[in-house]
Amino acid sequence: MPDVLCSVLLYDPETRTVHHGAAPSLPEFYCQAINGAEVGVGRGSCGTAIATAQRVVVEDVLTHPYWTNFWKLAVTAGLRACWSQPIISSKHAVLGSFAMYYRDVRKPDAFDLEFIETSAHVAAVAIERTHTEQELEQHRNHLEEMVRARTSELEKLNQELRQVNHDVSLLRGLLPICASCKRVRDDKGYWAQIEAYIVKYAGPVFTHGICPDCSQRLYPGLGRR
Amino acid sequence: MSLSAVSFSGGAGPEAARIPRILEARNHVYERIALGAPLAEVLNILTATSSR
Repeated sequence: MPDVLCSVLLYDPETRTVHHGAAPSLPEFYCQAINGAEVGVGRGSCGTAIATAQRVVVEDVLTHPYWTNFWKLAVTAGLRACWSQPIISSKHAVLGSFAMYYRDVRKPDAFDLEFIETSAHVAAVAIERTHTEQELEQHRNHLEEMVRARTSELEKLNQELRQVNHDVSLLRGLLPICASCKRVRDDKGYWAQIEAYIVKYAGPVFTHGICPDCSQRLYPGLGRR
Repeated sequence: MSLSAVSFSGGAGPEAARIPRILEARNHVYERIALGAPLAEVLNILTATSSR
């Protein structure tokens, strides 16, 4: 059984709670009891260390005020001393805590303090690396979503352009027209009124009237009044 | 945050003999970080090798 038992708690600043990071030597029930706990001054060594961003050394959980609500849990787990170092990011944000537990009353010496500081530093590197990867993944997903949306938009425009090209090519080519009734034959072999054909492939709206020559021919007396 | 920041001042005390083992364990943790190991695995190694 190890003399010192170490753990890492991860801090969620949105909920101001801690979550299990790693504690391979601590009892399962202890980890579960701590998981999701709120941080704050007086909420154990880790809760206080995270809330204050300062190292907290509790030499004896039975007598320290920070452990008033947790000492029974600690004693049940066979723990007596708990030192906690906040895990601080390179941007000075608190990421969690690195804790060292002992089974007896214990005061840290200079080596212990250096050890816990460097351990928290290593944990900070690992956590920041993970956060950076998660941010990169989010940016990558966002970028892919933008590319998908743009591609879809371009495909739609391309389809419209193809249709316009098709229509224009029909208007530019040879157009069979009846010499008598002036109906035209479309690309599928159907005969249609020339107005309907042009409306279909070129899009204008026809308004009907009578030109002066036809007016003269159809209504010879109308223009003289 | 530089990796070189992690070092031990050492000394002649009884803890001095542990320093090479601790540094070796830390190097292992950094290797796993550099290789993109999952956070849970890295923290497990860190806490397991720090417990004694």
